[in-house]
Amino acid sequence: MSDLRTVRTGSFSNIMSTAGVYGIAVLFLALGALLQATGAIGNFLSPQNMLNIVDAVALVGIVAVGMSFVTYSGHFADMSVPTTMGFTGYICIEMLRYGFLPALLVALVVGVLIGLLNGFVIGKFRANPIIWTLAVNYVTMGMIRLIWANKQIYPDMRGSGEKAIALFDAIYRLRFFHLIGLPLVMLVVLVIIGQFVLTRTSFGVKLKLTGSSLRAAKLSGIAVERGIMLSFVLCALTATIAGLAVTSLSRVGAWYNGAGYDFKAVTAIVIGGMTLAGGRGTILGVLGGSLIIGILNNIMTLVGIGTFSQDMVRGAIFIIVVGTNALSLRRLGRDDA
Amino acid sequence: MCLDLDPNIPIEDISQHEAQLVEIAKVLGNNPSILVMDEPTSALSREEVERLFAMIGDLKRRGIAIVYISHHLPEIFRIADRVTVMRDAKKIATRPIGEVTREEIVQMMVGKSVKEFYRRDARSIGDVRLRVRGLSRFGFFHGVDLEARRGEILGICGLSGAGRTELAKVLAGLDHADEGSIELDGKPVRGSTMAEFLEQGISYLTEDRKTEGLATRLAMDENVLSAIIDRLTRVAVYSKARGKPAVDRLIGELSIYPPDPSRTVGNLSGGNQQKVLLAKWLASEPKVLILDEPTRGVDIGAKITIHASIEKLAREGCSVLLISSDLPELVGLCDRVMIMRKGHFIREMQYSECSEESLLLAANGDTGRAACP
Repeated sequence: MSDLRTVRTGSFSNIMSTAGVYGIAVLFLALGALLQATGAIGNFLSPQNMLNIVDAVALVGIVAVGMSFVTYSGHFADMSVPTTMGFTGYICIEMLRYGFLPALLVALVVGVLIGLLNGFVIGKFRANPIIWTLAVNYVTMGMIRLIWANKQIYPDMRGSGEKAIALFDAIYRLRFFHLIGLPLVMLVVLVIIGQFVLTRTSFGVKLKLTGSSLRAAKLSGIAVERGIMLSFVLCALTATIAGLAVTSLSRVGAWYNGAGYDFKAVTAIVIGGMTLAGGRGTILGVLGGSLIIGILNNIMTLVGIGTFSQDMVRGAIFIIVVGTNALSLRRLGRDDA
Repeated sequence: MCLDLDPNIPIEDISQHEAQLVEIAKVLGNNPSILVMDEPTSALSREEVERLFAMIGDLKRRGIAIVYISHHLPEIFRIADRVTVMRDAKKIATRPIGEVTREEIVQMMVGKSVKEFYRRDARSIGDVRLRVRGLSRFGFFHGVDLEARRGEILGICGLSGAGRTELAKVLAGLDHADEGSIELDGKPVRGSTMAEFLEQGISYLTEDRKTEGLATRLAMDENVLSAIIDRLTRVAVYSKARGKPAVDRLIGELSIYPPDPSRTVGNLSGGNQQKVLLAKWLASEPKVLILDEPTRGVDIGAKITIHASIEKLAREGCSVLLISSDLPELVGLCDRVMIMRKGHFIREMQYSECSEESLLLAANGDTGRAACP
């Protein structure tokens, strides 16, 4: 009910909640430092480990920034992100023999098309976003299996030029000043652009209205379908970028490249202060949420918690954070159940 | 409740007034000994109100005590035995109904003497702004001819189901007409979306402020500016600051309380919410403003302010179409009233011909022509 009880909306409360998210991130950092000091883990604060955290945060963050627009518009999340990531990775590797840039372009176009499909069906026919994007996820998975006959593909398998392969590798491995990877640069750029678009453009303001009350937005003369389509395109676009980065990292086209990113992105978005009901939150908050997730994952790995146990922890956090958010949604009468 | 409906229909598929009757039936099913009714007739037509009053009379005879909250004075004088007036969260007085007049009650409610409920300042009525010819939407209304002039307040009166809101939605660009033409200031209205109609100067205030009019989770200023976002945008960049003077001016003009633009709209009283909704459409500076039940569920102080604002808008040259079930409102504000019945305009009545009785008779089918001898 916190939404209804809020007397003041506007930039001040947004700043406070964003600051709160970064406060929690700092707390987790402190937790890691504490664990290192007590000898429970080693090397948390080392430069290499910090870089690891940053690299992981960058990937989740890129996906989360795009998905934020979907959440902000009141359409919860895009569950087709994992296979969008995998599929566009496959396509890029497949097209590398025609050159790096053409491959890149085709992958981006495919991503945009997936986003357009989602945006059209959900915006025009008012399909349930979760159900529809889950369906698209499975269909895309089927397409991957069909087209590449269940095989993984490698960049050097298809007769691609040496230069193209090197450029593709560089997506993940290029380091500015030996430190800053391309994904991180992309994240920063996307956060800056995303924050600006969300808060200072007419598209962002109209999206806020759409997310707060679709009917009122429609009856204010706002083209809600166009805004919804654009948000799903943005989501698919960032998923494509992250998919290319992950595929570059693993150097193989595989269906599992994007696994788990829908989960991680939604958790980051909701922890970051963007409510599932829509119309509330900032991109900076989402970045903070991504930071928290990245730091937490890192600490768990250093402590030695096994993968499955980590999944349990991540799942528990997801249930708590997203679940309580959905509860307040229900009280607002918007749980879509 | 004499409702002719399939009990299995979901509530959201029936009209607002039918839903209200269901609500009342639900409460009566509990066999209460004290019944508190809060504005039960705000969305009911005359006939439905009569049915409700008959039921209330029945309940009274059975010994049930009824607390009836309303600002409809005629209703109070009909069914109440005693009346308590409240203002600004204080009880002003309780009187037996036979010992108090309508003017006294209004005075207690508003806190100042109201000589006439509606003042009629002179307004000059200009040339035709909105010309509608042969407009039809199959199944809803047919062959509608309408002319609204500059500076005129044109009422549209009819029983529920007559097709008024459907007509309004077509005039606003929300729905498409199957036949006919709409002309604004001599030129045909282009486009097929509400945004295009809005851009050309036709604004529409919906009858349901909570779900269709306002985004109740957002702030007052965000709502007031929500219809003019494109006008405040330069090169894709939106500036709320550019809209601030308009927001402040409208808050002052409509006496919105509290005068805090960052206040969440959902926390305002019904009357203030309606004022915010009106402010939103005033901010769009329309050539034609269609109002659909603009004072439904609104306290009397807010009603007076809203009426004054509507008159001011007309005086400044806007054509106002006023759809209302509130007969005194139609009588008091309108220069002419079009009577709508079962999808047709059956009659046009001038200000001099309008009274609550004559409007009600007309809405029920009286075309004003003498019966054939």
